[in-house]
Amino acid sequence: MIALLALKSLLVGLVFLGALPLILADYQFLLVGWHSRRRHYAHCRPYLPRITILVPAWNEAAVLGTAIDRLLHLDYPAGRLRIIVVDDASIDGTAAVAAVKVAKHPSRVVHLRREEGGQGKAAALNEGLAQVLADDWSQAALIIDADVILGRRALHALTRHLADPAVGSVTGYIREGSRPDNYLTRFIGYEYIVASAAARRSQNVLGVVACLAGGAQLHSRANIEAIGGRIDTGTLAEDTVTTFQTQLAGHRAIFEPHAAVSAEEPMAIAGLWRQRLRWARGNLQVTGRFRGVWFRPGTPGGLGGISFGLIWFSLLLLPMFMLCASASLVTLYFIDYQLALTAFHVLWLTSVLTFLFITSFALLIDPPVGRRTWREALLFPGLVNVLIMATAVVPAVLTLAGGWERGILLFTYVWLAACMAVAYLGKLAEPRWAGRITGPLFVYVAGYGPLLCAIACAAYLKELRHADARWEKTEKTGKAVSPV
Amino acid sequence: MTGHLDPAAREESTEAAEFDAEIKDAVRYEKGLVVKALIALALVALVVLARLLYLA
Repeated sequence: MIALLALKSLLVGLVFLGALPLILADYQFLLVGWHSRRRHYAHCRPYLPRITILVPAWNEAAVLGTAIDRLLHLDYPAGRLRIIVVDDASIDGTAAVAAVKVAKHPSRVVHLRREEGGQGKAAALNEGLAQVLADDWSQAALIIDADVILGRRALHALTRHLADPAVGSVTGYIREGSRPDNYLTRFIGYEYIVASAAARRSQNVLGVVACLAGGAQLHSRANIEAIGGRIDTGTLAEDTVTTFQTQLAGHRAIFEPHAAVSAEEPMAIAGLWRQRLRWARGNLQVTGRFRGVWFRPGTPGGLGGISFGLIWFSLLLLPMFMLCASASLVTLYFIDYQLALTAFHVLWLTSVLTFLFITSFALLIDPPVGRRTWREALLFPGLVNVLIMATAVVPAVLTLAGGWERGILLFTYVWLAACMAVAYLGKLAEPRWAGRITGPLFVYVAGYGPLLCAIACAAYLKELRHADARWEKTEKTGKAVSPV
Repeated sequence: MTGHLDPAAREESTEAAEFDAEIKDAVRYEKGLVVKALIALALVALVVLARLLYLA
């Protein structure tokens, strides 16, 4: 009897553990409201350092020429800006495009050609950083991707924070910018409001930033020197490692939401899968690499803070929480039907309230993107999960099911985990017959969020198997448009 | 007075004015987020009330 009671308590505890990431998400969004009181603007000054922009380029011929032209025309004093293109042994026309730009702007554009490429972005960046530190000209370095487009005044918005010597690096707000867009880029557009515009604001409030966006991060020269003048090449998340190193070196990392940067994102599940698998594996590697900092409040830069640790691990382990909650509900269903039902209601009511709060707030944080992506925002958890949330709010709906009520409940308990597998089917369906219809259908029904969780599961497995950590670059075609 | 400044000083003063305007805009936007958070919370409160009073 006592053993059964202990088992039931454990199972209910595991179900409620599934609510932890939701509660932490609410906490982060509440902190966003606090951003107006904990912003860094009081320490900003007009500051225009000499900046070297590093553009790592591996087969970027399609976007490089336009990217360089745009950078040269940024609203920033021409004599204070130079560009280094690190051509990572490209085999397309990248070298030719770079050579044309160097010939046209010999004092402002430098072309560094690596003869051995494909070792990842960090390896290419290190060639550029060596050049930055080789003379005294650069007071700061901006690391960007070849496809990103900075807003006209974005550099000003970033550099003003470096006027405070305590700040080592600053990142901007990366917006999804592909035009014409499709269903997937709209999901990504909404995701970036949540993961960038909102989450990074909350990190500003906490005083610790998890990741400076690799597509646009500005470092002071002092910070580059403090982190050893090099970018880590040992993980797939070089931007996160740099962010951690910056803060461990005693410098602040800042997110500037008003430095708008536009980036091209994958338009197919296969491309998204490759990109996010790299990010998810990178985050797992970073977790292990910095295992000495978690939940140690004395760690420099706030990285050891309890809140920060909880947020980091709740995202990293989100698929595990979902699997545990699902398995626990199914077990409870068979040993104590009523208890399972109560636990289900608590979990899903938490989901509903979190979903309502986060979705409505996120759409208001960036209204232009919100207007374009509100449908994807509503279906972010997937159509089935939205219907389940509706039954949690209006339980009477279940009585309409008559004798099917128990079967439907069991389905909802299983679906919490199964939605990830169904979302994965979207990836399998996409290249097959009618994949242009079935691929998106699986994502809308099972959810974009569960698709990301499925990718995280794939990352767990790859890391457990110590699979080859190759740098699989996202293909860019120059579809991004200016953020302003 | 601005007309008597040399080009570098004029550029600096323009830059300072633009900086002030941008900071003011950014701060106003960030303060507006508090209102937006309250709107979102009000929506949540409405659903909780409806659930407790009518839909339980």
